Parts: sequence; C-alpha cells; structure tokens
Amino acid sequence: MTEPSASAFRALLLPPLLWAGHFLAVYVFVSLACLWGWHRMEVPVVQVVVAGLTVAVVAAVLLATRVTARMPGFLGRTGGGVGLLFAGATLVVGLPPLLAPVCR
Amino acid sequence: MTRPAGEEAELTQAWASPPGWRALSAVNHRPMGARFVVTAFFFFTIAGLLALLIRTQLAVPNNTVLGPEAYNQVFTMHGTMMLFLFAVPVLQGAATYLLPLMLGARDLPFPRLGAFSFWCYLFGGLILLSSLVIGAAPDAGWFIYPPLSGKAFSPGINVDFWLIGVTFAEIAGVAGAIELTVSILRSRAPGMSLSRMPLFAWYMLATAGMILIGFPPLILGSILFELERAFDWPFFDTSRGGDPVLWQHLFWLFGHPEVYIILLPAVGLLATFVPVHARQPAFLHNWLVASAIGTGFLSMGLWAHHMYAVGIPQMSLAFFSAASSLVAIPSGIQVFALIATVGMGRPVFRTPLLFALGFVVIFVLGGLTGVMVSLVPFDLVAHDTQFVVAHLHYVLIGGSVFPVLGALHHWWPAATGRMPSETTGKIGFWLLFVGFNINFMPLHHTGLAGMPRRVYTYPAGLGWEWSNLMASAGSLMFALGLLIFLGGLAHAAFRGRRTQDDPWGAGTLEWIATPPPVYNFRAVPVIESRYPLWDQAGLRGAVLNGVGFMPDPQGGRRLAPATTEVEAVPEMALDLPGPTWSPLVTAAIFAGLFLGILVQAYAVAVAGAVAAFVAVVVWMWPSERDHDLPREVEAAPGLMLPLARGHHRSPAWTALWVTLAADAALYASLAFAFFYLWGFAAQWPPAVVRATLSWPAVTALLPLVASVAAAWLAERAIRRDDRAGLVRWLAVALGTGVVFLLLQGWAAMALGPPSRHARDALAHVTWIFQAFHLLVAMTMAGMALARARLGDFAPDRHLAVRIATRFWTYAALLWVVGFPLVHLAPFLFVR
Repeated sequence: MTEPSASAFRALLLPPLLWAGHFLAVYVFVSLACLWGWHRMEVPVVQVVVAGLTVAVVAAVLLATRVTARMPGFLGRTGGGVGLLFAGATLVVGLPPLLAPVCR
Repeated sequence: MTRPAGEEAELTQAWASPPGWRALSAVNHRPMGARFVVTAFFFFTIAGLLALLIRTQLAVPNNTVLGPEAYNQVFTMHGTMMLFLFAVPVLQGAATYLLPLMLGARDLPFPRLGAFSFWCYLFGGLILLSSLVIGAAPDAGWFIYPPLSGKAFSPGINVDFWLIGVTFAEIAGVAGAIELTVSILRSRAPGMSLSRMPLFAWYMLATAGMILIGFPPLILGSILFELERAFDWPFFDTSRGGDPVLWQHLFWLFGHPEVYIILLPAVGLLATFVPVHARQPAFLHNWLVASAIGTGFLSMGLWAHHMYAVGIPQMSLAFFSAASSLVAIPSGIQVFALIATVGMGRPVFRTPLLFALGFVVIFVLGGLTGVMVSLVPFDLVAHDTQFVVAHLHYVLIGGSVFPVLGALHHWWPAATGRMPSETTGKIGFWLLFVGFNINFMPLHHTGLAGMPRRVYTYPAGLGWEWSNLMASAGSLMFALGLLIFLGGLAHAAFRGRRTQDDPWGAGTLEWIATPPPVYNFRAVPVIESRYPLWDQAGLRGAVLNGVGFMPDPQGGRRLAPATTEVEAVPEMALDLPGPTWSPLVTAAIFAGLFLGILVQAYAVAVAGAVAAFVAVVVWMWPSERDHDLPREVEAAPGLMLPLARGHHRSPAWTALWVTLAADAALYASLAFAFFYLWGFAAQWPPAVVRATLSWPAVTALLPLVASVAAAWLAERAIRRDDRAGLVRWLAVALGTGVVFLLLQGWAAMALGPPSRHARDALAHVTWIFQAFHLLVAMTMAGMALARARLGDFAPDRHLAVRIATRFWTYAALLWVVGFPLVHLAPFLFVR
C-alpha cells in the first residue's frame, strides 16, 4: 500500500477550511454591507459579491477534492467524502443572501 | 529472541506509581484517566440528585418542595455540572485512559500536563460545588445570560462561582485537548498510519480540535464578565457601549460545538466497541472519519441557532438555519454506519450492544427534533419551552450517557481484570431506556402545550399535570436503572469473575493483555492493520515476549517511541517523567489565585499569581541539561533513535503550534467582541471621543520589532554553536522587550478609563493581553538565557530557544491586530 503523505493530509482538511473561510467572509461581508447601507445601491452589490465568492469557493473545494480523491487508499476515499460534503455545505451557506431579502 | 532476565521487572519498576498517599504524585495516563472518570461520575451523581429534585418539584401543580430561589439554583447547577463537570470530563478521562492503549503507546507524551489538567478540573469542580453547600450557587441558568446575571440583578457571588469554577474547568479541558492532540499525532505505534488508526482516535482528534477552538470564546467571555462584575468594565452594559447579546455570541460560540464535543467522542467509543460485539469491522470506516471531520467543522458554524428568539437580523437567521440543517448529513452517516455494522455482522447482544442500540433510538429521536428546532418558524414557537428540554436531553443523554455506560461495561475487564455481570447490565439498561423515554417523551407534549422551561411550579388545569407526573415517575425509574447498572459494575470490580486476555475477542491493541501491565506493552508493537489482534497472527505473543520497540528501559527510564504524524514512522525516543508533585502543587496555587479573585481578596490573588509564576518556572526547569543527554537510545535491535528531549522535532514542538491555535482563538474572540460592539451596540461610538494615538504608542513599535529580531538572532547564534552569542542576543531581546512594555504602559495611560465605555474596556483588555503574552515570551527567553549561561544547549538541541523565539514572534504579531484596535479605534470605529 502506498503510504499517504503529510501534504495529502493537509489537502484532506482544505475543503472544511475553505468552507469556514467562506462562511466567515460571507457573514462578515453581509453584516458590514448592511451596516454601511450597500444593499440600497441600484446594483445588487451584496448578491453579486456573495454569488461570486460562493462560486469561487465551491470551485476551489471541488479542485481540492479532485486532488485528494486521486490519492490511493484511505485518504483518497475519505478526502472525496469530505470534499463533497463541504462543496454542498458551501453552496448552502451562500444561498440565503441570494434567496432572501438581505439586511432585514 | 529471548530478552534478558530482570528486564521486565526493571520495566515495571520504571513505570510504577508510588503507593499510599504518595500516589497523588502519579502522572501515568491510567491513574489519571480513572480519576477523571470517577470524579466525573461523582459530579454526575450530584447533578442527577438535583435532577430528581427538579422532577419532584414539578411532579404536581403548585408544589412547594422547592421555593423559587432554591429552584433557580438547583436547575442552574444541574445543567452546569452535567455539561461542564460530567459530559466533557468523563470523555476526556476515557480518552486519557484508553488512547495510549489503543495507539500502542506507553503513556501520553506530556504526563505532567495530563495530571495538571485533572487537578484543575477537580479544583474547579469543587469550587463550583462549594457554592451549593454554602447556599450561594449560581442561579441564572447554565448560560448565565446578562443582564440577569449582571451585578445589578445578581449582586451576590453566585454568578462569580460559575465564572471562576467553569473557567478553571475549561482551562483543564484545553490542557487536556493539547495533550490528546499531540498524543494522537505523535505517539502512535510504529506502522499505525492514519489509515490504520482506531476510530476512537479519529473522533478524539476532531474533538480535541473543537475544544481548542471552541473553549477559548467562553474563557474570554468569562474573563470579560468577571471584569465587568468585579471592576465595572462595561462589556455587556448597554448604557455604556456594551451589549448583553455579545455574551450570548461568546457563550454559544462555545456552547454549540460543546454539544458535538460531547457527542463525537461518544460516537467514537461506539464505533470502536460496536464492531467487537457485531464481530464485523466498522462499516464505512472512511465515511465515519469524514463525518467526524465534517461534524467538527460544521458545528463551529451553528452557534447562533440558539439565539433565534433574541432578535438577530433575518439574514443571520437564514445563515444559521441552513448550516444547522446541514449537520444532519454527517450525523446521519454515522448512525447509518453503526446500524449497518450491526446489520452486516454476527451480533452478540450483550450489554454494550444494547446501549449502542439505545443510543441509535434515542439520539435519532433527538436529532429529528433538532432538525425541527433548527427551522426558525418552529423554533420561535418552541423556544424556551419544555419541548427544548426534551430535545436536548434526547440528544445529550442519548448521545453521551448511553454510549458512556456501554463503554464502561465494555472496557471494565480491561480496567479491573474482572468481568461485569450481564444480568445487572441488562436490567440496568432496560430500566434506563424505558425510564428515560417515560421521563422525556411526555415533555415534548408539555412544551407544545405551552409549558415554559425554568419555572419552579405551574397552576393546575392547563393540561400539563399528567405529562409532568409521568416524567417524574420516569426519572425515578431512570435513577433506579443507573443505581443497578453502576452498582453491578462496582460489585464486579471486587467480586467479579477474573477475566482472560481479550474476553470479547476484540481487535484493537488495548486487549493484548487484560488488564494491561503498568507499562502497557512489554514491547511497543509494529502495526500493519486497523484491527491488529484480528489480522496480525502472533502479535500478542510477540509483544508479551518483548519483541518490538523499546523493551529495555535502559537504566530505568520511561522510554517510548515518538512517530511521524501521518505515517507513524519511528522518529525519536520519548524519555517521559515519573511521579512528581508539580502538577498538583501548581493547580492548587492556581485554585488559590482563583479563590482570591472570587472573594475579591486581591492581595491573595496577587500573591497567588506570583506563586503560580514561580511554580510554572520550577515545573519548566529541566532536571537534566539538554547538553548532557545521550544523543540516541536503542529503540530496537540495530535501530538507534535520537532522544526527543530538546530535539527540534520533539512532540513539544507540535504542542507549541497546537497551543498557539487555541490562544489565537481566544484572541480572535476578543477581536470579534470589538467588531460586534462596533456593529451592533446601541451606544457606539462613545460620546466622549479622545484621540489616543500618542507618541509612546507609535514609538513602542520600534523596540517590539527589535526584540523579535534579537530573539531570532539568538536562535541563529546557537545553531552555529555560538553560546555567547545566544546569551548576548537573548539579553538584547529581554532589554528591548522591557522598553516596549514600559512604552506600552505609558501609552495605555492615555486611553480612557476602562469603566467609561465598552470600547475603552476592550482597549485595555487588548493591550494587557498582548503585554501578558510578551511577559510569557520574556520568561521563556529568560529561562533559556539562564540555561545557556549554565552551559546548556547545542546546535542540534535547543528546543527551548526555538519555542521562545516562536512564541515571542507570535506575541509581537498579536499587536498587528491589537495596535489598530487599541490606538486607532477612535478613528476606525465610528459609524
């Protein structure tokens, strides 16, 4: 059996870390945007930024998942599971600002 | 190969703990783990008696067994003790006891830290418990929300007991988490790569990570709250820029991960013992690991779902509702995997497996109501009703107590060498299972019928009578079941049938010898499978005959291998310390310090702080110079490994980064408090704005940078074997550090008084936080300087210098965030 490397272990943790970063970024950005009244602009800045950020992070999570899923054995299979879970989780966190009225 | 005669006796002597009262100085993982578990059950018993009091009071309408004051204290102490003094510590104790055995290790890598963690927990728990004895127990709920728990509405020391006792217990938790993380990553048996690591270790790794990130917000919140109560620093006072909701955020940033901190190790225990009784390897092993990691991270993003009814913005509600629903996915995977393991195996329905199935039924019911209350509209209806009481008990008792009891039965032979009774085990289980459901199932109805939580009585005629009476009857049945179950175990410990090795036919290493000898393994084995006792023929005999790593104590040393994080390749040899009074004495001094703060005897507190400083320095001072230690020891025939002590890759190096992660979480919580109040506090910014960017504040940056540079130059000097250079540069670092602290203190005098406004109070906490860290770094550097002057350190052995340098750099980096918060706040925090 090929032994996994330390970098593969780090790659395993990358999707949840990206999810956490995205969660914080979206939450802080929406809070500040509401505080500063950006939601009243003609261009839907809040929605555009959140959607862009979400797409970018989901892409990054899937990319990281692709890397780990190619690893042989345990880390590959576990990494695939973790990646898929957090790709979905990132999408779910990004959706509320797009579906519900912000700043209420 | 035959091992030398007398080697085993020497090994036993090296690892033995002293007898009699001197056993209190023991630091081995098994006495520590056992003490954790026994102490946790002691607190569990008291908290359980309080629960019976609650149910007696609520059994009938207009009851007068307890008055409102007493009732408030009883339900607050019940929740506090169950969550802080039982649920987490019992699992920490289980991990302390079992992990080294499962990982093929002889002990945890920092035995004194483990012992310190236990003593802190015990003293913190006793401080909290003493409040009940003197009739001044906390009475504002287990989450002590301000303003009810503020000085205005809770003027006594009831709440202070909570803040001091819980903080002490939390510090014990963080110390334990550091110990367990490093243990899992660095002290597994050779060959036990991550893919072969037992599931319990995976779950504990995720849990320890959650403790490291989840506990600091509450520790910070408790410090801020005690500062507010003792010195009138207004962090949660709306009239002076504070906000009580800030406390709720800090509390639940801890409080929600806490649920999973309790659940995950319990599931880890199940995932380890269910395959044994199902006679089938854990189904979906990889998915269980992925779910543990997933639950650990997701649980960090759910804290506000306890605050739906507070009035937080609608967008926040949507965020947290979505994230809360998500956690059902990994939870579901774990439950499914456990069911499938039983379903695909050849199960033997002994007591542990019954408890596992009890977990599945009860936890799934709690999970379903959890999904219900994660939805905002339903939560607004059910909030603060008995429905939530039912939900949380289904999750916590189902998710923690049932697995722990099953685990107790399963590992009892390993701990005592005697078999527990199946009869008392099964009778106990059925009484617990039926009693639990009779107790808590009706409370769903009571809650939906409108009965609120935390009311000491209720009038007749509201339709709540039958369900309350039924719940109280169920609680008695539950208590009886517990009595029979634990009584059966206690009886078995003395009178039970003596067991043979591995009585259940398990596959993991803790069953090589039952009970294990004091040194755990005659020789540390080489692992080639997830279930080595199932898959590696001849392993038991080999280990018992001393074939493996480090069978020879080499002069009575406590030797054990340290391995790499991922592949578990033997890397160096740990030389662990034996019995010592340092952990007990240090924890006792800290207890004195905390008691001084509690009773506002500040002279005692200051004396305690000085004594604590001395105790820590004495503890840290090495018994042997790194320079004099043997470079290598023989780990196996023909294999020499470097000694870990003082080595730059020793487990202490891993521990440094783990500790800094927890500390960074504490600091991030402080920064969060700044930003939260800036965004949401009613009275912000302060009415009196005063420019605080004084020249000492700016000038101080120069010596700070210079001190960091000097620390790094000191390290570079010892790498080149220049001990004189090391001494010189460390002295420069200390000198510039002192100049920085003086300027820092001068600049702080220009800040507003901390009791004026929350912003001023936070600014003071921030600079004190940073100054404290620099003082710690200076202490480390000062000790390194003293050791260097005594001729210690070598180019390849100067870990203390490396740690001091990194910590110094970290302390300086704190100021990258702290400087703008403190000195630019008046310009930044306007809105």
